[in-house]
Amino acid sequence: MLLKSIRIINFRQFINETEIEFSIDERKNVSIILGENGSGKTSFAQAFTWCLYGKTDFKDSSMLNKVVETNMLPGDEECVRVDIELIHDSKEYNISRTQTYKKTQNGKIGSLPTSFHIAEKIKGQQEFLKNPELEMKQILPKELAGYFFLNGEHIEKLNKELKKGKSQEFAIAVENLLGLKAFLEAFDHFNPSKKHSVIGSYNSQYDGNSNKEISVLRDEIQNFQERINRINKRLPEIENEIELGEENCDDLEATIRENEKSADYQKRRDGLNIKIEYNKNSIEDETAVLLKNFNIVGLSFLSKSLINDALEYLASEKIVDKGIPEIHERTIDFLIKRGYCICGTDIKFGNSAYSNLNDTLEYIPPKSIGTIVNNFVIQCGELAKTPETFFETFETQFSHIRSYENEIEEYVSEIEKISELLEGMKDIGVYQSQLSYKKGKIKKLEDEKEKLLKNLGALEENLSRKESSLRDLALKDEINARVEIYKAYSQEIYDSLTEYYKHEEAEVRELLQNSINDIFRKIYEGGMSISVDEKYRIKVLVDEVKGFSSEIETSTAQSTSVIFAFIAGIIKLAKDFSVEESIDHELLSASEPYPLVMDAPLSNFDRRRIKTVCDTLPKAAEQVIIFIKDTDGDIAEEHMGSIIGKRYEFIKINEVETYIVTR
Amino acid sequence: MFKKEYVFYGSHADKVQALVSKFSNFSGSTLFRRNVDVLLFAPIVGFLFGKMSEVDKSKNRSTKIFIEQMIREDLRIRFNYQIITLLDKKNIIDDDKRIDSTFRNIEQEEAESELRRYNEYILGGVDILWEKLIEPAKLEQDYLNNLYDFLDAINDRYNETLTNDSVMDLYTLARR
Repeated sequence: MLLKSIRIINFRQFINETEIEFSIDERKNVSIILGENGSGKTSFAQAFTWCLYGKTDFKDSSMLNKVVETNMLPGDEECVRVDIELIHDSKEYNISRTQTYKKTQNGKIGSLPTSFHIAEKIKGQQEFLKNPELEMKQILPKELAGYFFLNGEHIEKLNKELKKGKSQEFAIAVENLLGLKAFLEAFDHFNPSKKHSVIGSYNSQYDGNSNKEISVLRDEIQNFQERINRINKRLPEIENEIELGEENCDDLEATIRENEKSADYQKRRDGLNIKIEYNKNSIEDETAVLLKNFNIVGLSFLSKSLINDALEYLASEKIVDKGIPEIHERTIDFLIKRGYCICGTDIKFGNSAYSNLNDTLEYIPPKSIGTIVNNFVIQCGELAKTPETFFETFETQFSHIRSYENEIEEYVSEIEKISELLEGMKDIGVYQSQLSYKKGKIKKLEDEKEKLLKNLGALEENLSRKESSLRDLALKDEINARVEIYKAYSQEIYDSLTEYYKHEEAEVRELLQNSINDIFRKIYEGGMSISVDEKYRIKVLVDEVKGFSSEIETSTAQSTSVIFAFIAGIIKLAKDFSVEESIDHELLSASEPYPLVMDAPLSNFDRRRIKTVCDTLPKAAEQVIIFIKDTDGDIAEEHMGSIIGKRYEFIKINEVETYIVTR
Repeated sequence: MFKKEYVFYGSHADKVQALVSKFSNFSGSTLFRRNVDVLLFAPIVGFLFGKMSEVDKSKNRSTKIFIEQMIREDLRIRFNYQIITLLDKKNIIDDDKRIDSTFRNIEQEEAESELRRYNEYILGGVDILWEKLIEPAKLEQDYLNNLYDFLDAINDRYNETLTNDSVMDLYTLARR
């Protein structure tokens, strides 16, 4: 398929009529359309899918240019139209879609039914085809369009499927593009398990009137066949459910793996809280000891210098005289008043005891303070014996308390960090139970599958026995023998087709894998290759020296490269197949080369890869149409300059008006 | 001498209460256990810092030390009075008068002015303790930090060069 031109009228930013012709030159097969962001590149790219399938990715369902819409008067009609001229299978087509909009009396815009036409140019005359939707399916089915009209969103979607290992869309693309689809239709036509297929219809043609046994066998065979069909219908459903379930399990396991650390973090946080509690208790204990010590010994510590000064003073002053300990003037006065001594001696005025006691007054307080001073000095001595280590002990206890406090601060800040980390994490318990539920479900499905396969085996064996009996009986009468012979021919055709298909399919798959890898290695340098398995699951493998290879996770640039390689690989293969001389797969010659229309395809790549993409894609595809922003455009121009056949540029007037100029 | 109830008044009552209050939410610790402990520490601190304060009767607040506790601590209270009076050369210049006030007239009426001066040291000490330990504290751990800084300063200024041996040498000399 080659795109010759596109003509758009009042489509989104493009007011009135705008037409672009694309390069269909074999060598200069690149058309490039430059435009700054917001100038309408995406709108223009979407005009293709709107025209061909009536679909766009826009949120606004109205395609009508806003300036045109505003200028409409109540009752006015305006239309949006896109025409695409293309060549497919050596035939020229003009595909056109028109949508008419009408402004109502209250100023609202309503849309009238869309008209869609495909005209084929035959001998210079336009001939409208009767069933354009069906014709469109033949030219390019909608499901495949995504591979040729590429935009960022579609690449993203393919990326996700690629990461999940989903293969359905790729498998359909391959079947359709590489001509394998025709085989599948042929299978359907002959399929013995289908009632209305060639082989199926022979089954109902046996004549049961002549032999009752034949009639019984025919019914039994039909019954077995129906049961086998039911199982065959159920089996892919089960497989699909298992696949979906496994996908779910993978997602859950990934979530659990991502959040596994949360359990460790929680444990660590609990541990830190215990440590904090321990340190707080230690601080409490140490503080109590420290303050008790301070209250008991601190006073002596504070008084020590005063005691030193007092002793120094008292040692230098000769005031310490001899006295009688604890005896004061008041004691002597008391004894004299009482009239007898402690020893019993009478004390009378003038006697010797009286005069001795009076003499004593000279040595005792208050006249003599020797004893009091002595007591004071003794007290000084006692207090001076304060442990010298008081302050050192205090200092040590204090530093213990400080280090406990510092540790608490560290623990608290670590807990804060952990809490921040935990905030974004999930409780894995819930996911664990979901996972075991899903796994249980998968197990049930697998059990069901196993049981069905067992039944299927038994049914097929029975069926084959009954068919053999029917065959033996059928050959005994003429009418049935003829049916039997026709059926045998049909079966033979069916079996040969199956065998040939298997062989071809494997070969095509290998060719595809090589084609993809050729392109992938050019786009993405670095010891990696792509494998395509029998279910068209794509895996990126790391090539290693000693023949060991392992599957790896893909980065965005890498998986975008894989998508490009895959698409370009298919397109290239389809192109190769279409050149009849180059292939020996005559049954696959129904395939058709396709163009590649890309909206901002280079934004995921760095400059170096852009060069390789620019080198590779035009060689792989029959025709390349690129919508690109100015900056990437310069690089594309730099690398593809010699093969660019047509150049255009969008000139943006405002948000709702853009014009196109040829460069 | 002090064998009677002792009362702190006004701002000193507030300060004494702050000094014997819990400073930590989780440990229940207080810097001083009882009012009487403040009474024992304060005159020494007041004298070391040369700080004397008048009784503050501007606020109608007070906190007491009961007579029983005063009697129990009498020996130490008396010692504090004696050591401060003996060394207070600034206020009692005459040596004989200081000796008399310290040892001879301790229980007598002549000592009234010395007792008043001693009480001013007690109140001055309360002010200092509050200024050093309580006032600058913002967080729980500041109280212990302040106590450490306070003791560290005393140690640096007065105690670092003193050993028990040197003090006991003087003791021996004084006893002869």
